[in-house]
Amino acid sequence: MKSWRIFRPALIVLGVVILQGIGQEAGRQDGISRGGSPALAPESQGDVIFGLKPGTGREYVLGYCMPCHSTTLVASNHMSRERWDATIDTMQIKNGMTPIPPDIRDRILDYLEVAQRVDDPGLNASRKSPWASPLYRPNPLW
Amino acid sequence: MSTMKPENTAVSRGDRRQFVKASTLATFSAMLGMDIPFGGLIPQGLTPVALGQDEVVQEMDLIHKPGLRVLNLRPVNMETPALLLDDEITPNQRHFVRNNGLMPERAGQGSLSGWTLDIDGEVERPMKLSMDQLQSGFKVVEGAYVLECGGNGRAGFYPPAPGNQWTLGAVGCALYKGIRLRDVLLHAGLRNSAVYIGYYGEDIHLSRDPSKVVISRGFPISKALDEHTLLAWEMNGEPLPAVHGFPLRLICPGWPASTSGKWLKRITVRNVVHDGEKMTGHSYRMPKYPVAPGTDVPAQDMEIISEMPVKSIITFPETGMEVPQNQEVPLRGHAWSGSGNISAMDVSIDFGQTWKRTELKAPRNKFAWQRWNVGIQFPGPGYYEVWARATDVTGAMQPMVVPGWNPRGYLNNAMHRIAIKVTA
Repeated sequence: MKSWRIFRPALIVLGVVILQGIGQEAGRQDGISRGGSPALAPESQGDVIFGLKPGTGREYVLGYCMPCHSTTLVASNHMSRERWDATIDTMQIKNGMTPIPPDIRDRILDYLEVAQRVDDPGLNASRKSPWASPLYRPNPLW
Repeated sequence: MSTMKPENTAVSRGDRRQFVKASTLATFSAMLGMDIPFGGLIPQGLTPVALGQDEVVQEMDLIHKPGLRVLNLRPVNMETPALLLDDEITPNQRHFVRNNGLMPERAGQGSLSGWTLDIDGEVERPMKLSMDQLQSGFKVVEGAYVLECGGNGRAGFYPPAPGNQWTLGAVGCALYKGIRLRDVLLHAGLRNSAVYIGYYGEDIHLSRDPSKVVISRGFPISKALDEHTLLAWEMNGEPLPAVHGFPLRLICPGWPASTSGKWLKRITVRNVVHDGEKMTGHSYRMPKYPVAPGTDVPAQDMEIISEMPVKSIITFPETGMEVPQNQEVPLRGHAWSGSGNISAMDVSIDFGQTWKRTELKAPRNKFAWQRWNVGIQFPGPGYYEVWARATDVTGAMQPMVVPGWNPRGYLNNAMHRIAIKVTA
């Protein structure tokens, strides 16, 4: 049981890579074009998986974050690269997150910096329509 | 003490093994609160790994909360849509959930085996009390208490504050039965050096590392000695549900709900401000001075949140409702304040230019929320917003816009606004 947990990030990365492969294959077969966000790299077009938008490095986010918590927590937060970096520090110091090789950490941050940025169009859209979200208006200082 | 009997639902029915066997893609999608694209093609055995599903299934087996919005499944965080908070006393199945870790096994089993509440620290007589001793040795009291997450309304802050993006529904007012914390503390004999209490629960850290404490918060002795601060074992006439802290929890009304520790096993009396997990740094703390949105505030400039601010909610009608003109619309909701009672409740249908006083009921007890209602006749067809504003006994009033930005997005008590479309 113990060793199983240690390998969990790697298993999830493997699983997601397979999933993405299946997705691309299925997309080709049914001829549906799948538009990704223009801000993301072309090779990262595809579908939302476990709440996370497509993007290079997503498999590592799934692999390293999901062993402890649902990715809905990642998908609902929007920060700068620096704050995401600090968040990983917090997760490692306080919450026992597995050590991450530097190159993989960079790829995780590359993904979060774009997919979960503060000016995410999806986040802003939800704030503009009073019917979609009559609860709050943007802070008048912004 | 009766054992826990979770109600049967599609998600919670049966034992875990059966559930896993019967799990369909739709179930996983529902649990995740999202679609799994090409899920039908997921090889057998892959999905559970990716979901961290062993814990999720175990926990969802114990939670029956139809209609609540899932913010996170691991740890479980669910908020209640405003319309489902319409009851005067929030039913267990509609009370929000804010877990920081995984529920202890004891909670799921409804077992008291080996359980005691330990009282130690700055007391003359450290003690271990069984549930029988707690229930028979002290005066039993009951009260309706609002519990509200300190981060309720976090979604309103910009730049976004990290954490669960609560909107309105991290609040509820249930009936709790238990004993006063002060009776237990006085029984153990408080020393003059007592300054603060800190609680420890049996919940499990998400990393499963037993040396890690999930959350250990507390409050000053003055609050611990308040007659409304309880050790509760019953919620709305039932043993505390697993997800709400079986077998015993603190009720620290008026303060962030994180002070109302669940799955309690130990209370330690400190001679300094408690420095347990989530007491320090930026957790449950506000800047000592107002800061511009997005400011990096040094930890030493943050102070612990005490009383929650005055707030109210519109529980009927639901936002977006269409009503024919010439028909009076009943509006109602609740109002509460960490400082005690509400003195006035007003609504506006013209973007705050004029206000109408509502009928406000007295609270069942201090720190219970108060029902308000008013009938409104809209002047003609069109788009209206109803704004609701509570004023508490200290004279504090809800702000029209999201109040002071802070690094973790606490204490958003902006007025609740709903949209109403009046048709010709």
